[in-house]
Amino acid sequence: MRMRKKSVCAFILLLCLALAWGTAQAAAKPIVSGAERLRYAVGDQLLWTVTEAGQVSYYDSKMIRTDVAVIQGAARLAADNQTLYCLANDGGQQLIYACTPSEASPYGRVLEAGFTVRQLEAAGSLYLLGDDGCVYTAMGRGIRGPYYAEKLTAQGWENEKITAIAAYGQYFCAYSGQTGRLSVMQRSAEGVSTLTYPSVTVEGLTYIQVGQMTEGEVHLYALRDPRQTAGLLDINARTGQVQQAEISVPEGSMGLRRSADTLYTLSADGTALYAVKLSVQAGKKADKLTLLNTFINLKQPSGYEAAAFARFYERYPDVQLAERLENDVRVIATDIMAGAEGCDITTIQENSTFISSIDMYRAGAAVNLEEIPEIADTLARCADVFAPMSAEGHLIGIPNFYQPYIWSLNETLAAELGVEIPRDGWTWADFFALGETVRQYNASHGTQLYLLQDQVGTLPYFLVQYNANTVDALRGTASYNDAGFIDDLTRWTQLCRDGLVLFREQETMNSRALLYAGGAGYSSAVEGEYGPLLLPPVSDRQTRYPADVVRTVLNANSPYREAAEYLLACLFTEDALRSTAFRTNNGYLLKTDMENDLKNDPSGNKRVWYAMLQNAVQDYYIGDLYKDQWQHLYPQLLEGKVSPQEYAQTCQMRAEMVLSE
Amino acid sequence: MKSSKRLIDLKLCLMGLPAALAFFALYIVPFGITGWYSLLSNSFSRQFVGLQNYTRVLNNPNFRLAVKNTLIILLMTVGGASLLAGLLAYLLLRARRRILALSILVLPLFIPSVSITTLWQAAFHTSAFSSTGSAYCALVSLYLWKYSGAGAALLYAGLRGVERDILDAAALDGAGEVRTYLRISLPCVQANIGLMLLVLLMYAFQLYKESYLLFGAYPCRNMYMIQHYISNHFNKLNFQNVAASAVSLTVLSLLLYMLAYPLAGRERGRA
Repeated sequence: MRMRKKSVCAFILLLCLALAWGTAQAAAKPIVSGAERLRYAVGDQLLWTVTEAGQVSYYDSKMIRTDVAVIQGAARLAADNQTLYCLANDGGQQLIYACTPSEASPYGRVLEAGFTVRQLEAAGSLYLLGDDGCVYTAMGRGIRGPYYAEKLTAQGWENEKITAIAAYGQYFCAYSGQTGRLSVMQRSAEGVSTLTYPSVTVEGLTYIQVGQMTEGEVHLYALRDPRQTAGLLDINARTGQVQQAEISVPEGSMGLRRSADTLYTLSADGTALYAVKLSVQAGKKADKLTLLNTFINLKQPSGYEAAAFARFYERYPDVQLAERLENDVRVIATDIMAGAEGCDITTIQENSTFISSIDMYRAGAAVNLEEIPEIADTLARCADVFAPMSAEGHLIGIPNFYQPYIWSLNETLAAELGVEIPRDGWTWADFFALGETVRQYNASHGTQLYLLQDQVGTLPYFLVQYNANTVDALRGTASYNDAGFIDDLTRWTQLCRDGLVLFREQETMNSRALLYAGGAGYSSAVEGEYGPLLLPPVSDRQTRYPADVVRTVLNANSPYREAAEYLLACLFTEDALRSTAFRTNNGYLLKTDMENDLKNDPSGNKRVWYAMLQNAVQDYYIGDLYKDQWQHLYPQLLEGKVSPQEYAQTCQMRAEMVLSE
Repeated sequence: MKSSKRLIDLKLCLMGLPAALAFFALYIVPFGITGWYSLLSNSFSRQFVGLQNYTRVLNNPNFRLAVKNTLIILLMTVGGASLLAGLLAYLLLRARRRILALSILVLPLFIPSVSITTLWQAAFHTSAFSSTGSAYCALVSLYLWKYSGAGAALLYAGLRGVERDILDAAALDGAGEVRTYLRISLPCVQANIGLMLLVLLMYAFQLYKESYLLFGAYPCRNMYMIQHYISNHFNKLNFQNVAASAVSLTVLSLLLYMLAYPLAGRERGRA
């Protein structure tokens, strides 16, 4: 009997301890510490630190430190995405360095400003708080030109006497210590800031940071002067209501910065960096939709994304949207199979992710999106250009990015060479004959002109187009052993060896190249930025044109499938397809818009663009076949270690194996 | 007396229980789940389809090719390593610094595959486009180098136990050293030969790791093994094919183990 009583007591004690542990306030813990004072900034995935000696380092999600560069005189830091912005003083000049994880010697651009920067923040824009109490945005002149400071304006907001600023995602906050005015602004895709709510008054704040969205309202975290009150405050930005935050930071903490799920602060002496998980703050786990490897910008959504999210939140106000980066196909496959959280919506770009959405669909892992009424409704209004988004006749992904590889002509050079190139109906044989003309011109004039500037990617357009026409992933066939292809490949290789093809130059169209092949947004292409567009040469009449496609696929095993379906539907509306940001990259995909577009097409560029879209394909990227081609086979072909026949044979063997597996 | 023996048996059972439980939880249960998966349509709709996945996998030309290749590679590697181990064990018996020689032979086993394959890549210039001959050379030589020593050690341990009288009698009868070794010593250690074959077979099934590191996910046709098929289908999210081929591979490996097991179970001296 006594034993039983003891057991019951022990059980109750354990229960109480567990309850106490579960409801305990989450406290920030030190994650980086040392003898020196630290400067830090927080980007999307990286935590940056700069020591007093100027050593710039970043920590990844596993807190593994990598030293990057040394910047002397580092004074203020801010980070956005994968970039650290470091303001340094160099002999009376203020320089802003942009440092990425791979940048060993970052370039510093002079800041042309008549003030000393007191605080630097980055989120979409670079915000500067000057010692004159005003907030500025730093605007760059050219790629490497100096920065100039432009005073930030927003209707209904007074940009003066500001003592603290914060920026995260699409929000920018400013606080005036003198007036107690706290303002939250939203930054639109066009860069214009608007007040989210009228300013509220809260006294005595020292540091502020954007907090969590709670019931559709923006909250801020703030610290007061420790002499007044210790602890982290949670402020409702709409009402100004202040309460103690459910997470805590050490007494006397300095500054507040955040990533998607963590709040950071420095210890009072500045030598230790503390962090606390924000997800703990809610005390309960909200339903969350995760977009895996997404190209959709969740933090600074563009016009159409913002509209889609607004529509989504009307129906699912409590669902949190999160993003996740994962490159290991095996991890993705395991998560999808297990129905785990963290991959509700997957973004797939076959040539880089090496996971095939067709395979996903065949395995039952990708949903037929035509089953979602809202999506089917929009699709019915679209032009017949969605083949790259389909498998076995069904829509399996909505476009996020969808462009054919354009070909454009350098008219000046064509006139100089005295050649005329048709806008369509020409063949690779014509192309190689043109190569002969350029070669002769170079020899007789002692010049170095290029026939083609090829910026398509890891493989040249010639091979990408051939893959697009040869590999049929749906039927499981490939035909590399074609005599015509081997002949063309021989001539192509010769052209490259003769130096008539210019590969992957970073600049735009080279003035010494007759033709340009590469990616371009709809707007820049139809506006003729690269010269008049022309249809690429073809091998036969059935030519399919390769396109660069990023498609968003719905995981059939998603635990939040209903919400995920609705989010995709919101992203695939007529309004979204017509919106500026989408249209600029992808062009009009709606039937009526395309027809109107073609009626008014004096340049002929739109006709070329749509002709390529209507015959666009994507399924030529079949995992290892494509990877092996650009990693091993093509370089060996160019070096003469592999003959065109061997290239074709190996590709055929590999394709048969991959496709018949 | 009887009760104390029972107590000892009980103690032994209790001591073995954690291992048995771990084996059940970590091997039998996941394997059972895999077996169940192999009978479903896919991981998402999960409809029971009987042996449909097995029919599809067994009819797939690539799977058949993989089975054929796996068997050929097993024969080449295990056969080659067994012969080499026999030779090395013979030399070990006659070596002066046996411990040193034994350590050198077993050492490759402790070197990580990644390091070894890097060396082999440099030596054989292996890639996905290696010809069949050079690919076989690279993979089989790697296996022989890495595992023959372990086989020799197992054999040597048994040969050391062969009674001296038998060998002396053979010598008196005029049998040469090699003949004594082949006709008397080796038949006396059949259990060790069986164990060596089991171990070499186990290592040969693990050779996929090295093959993948040397030739990638799609090697030349003759190097394509069952594990390539399984791994590639995993990346294609075709988990039913993965499950069906994994079960098939298990059956195949059990069959091969059964060939070597009777030998391993024999008692010493019963040639």
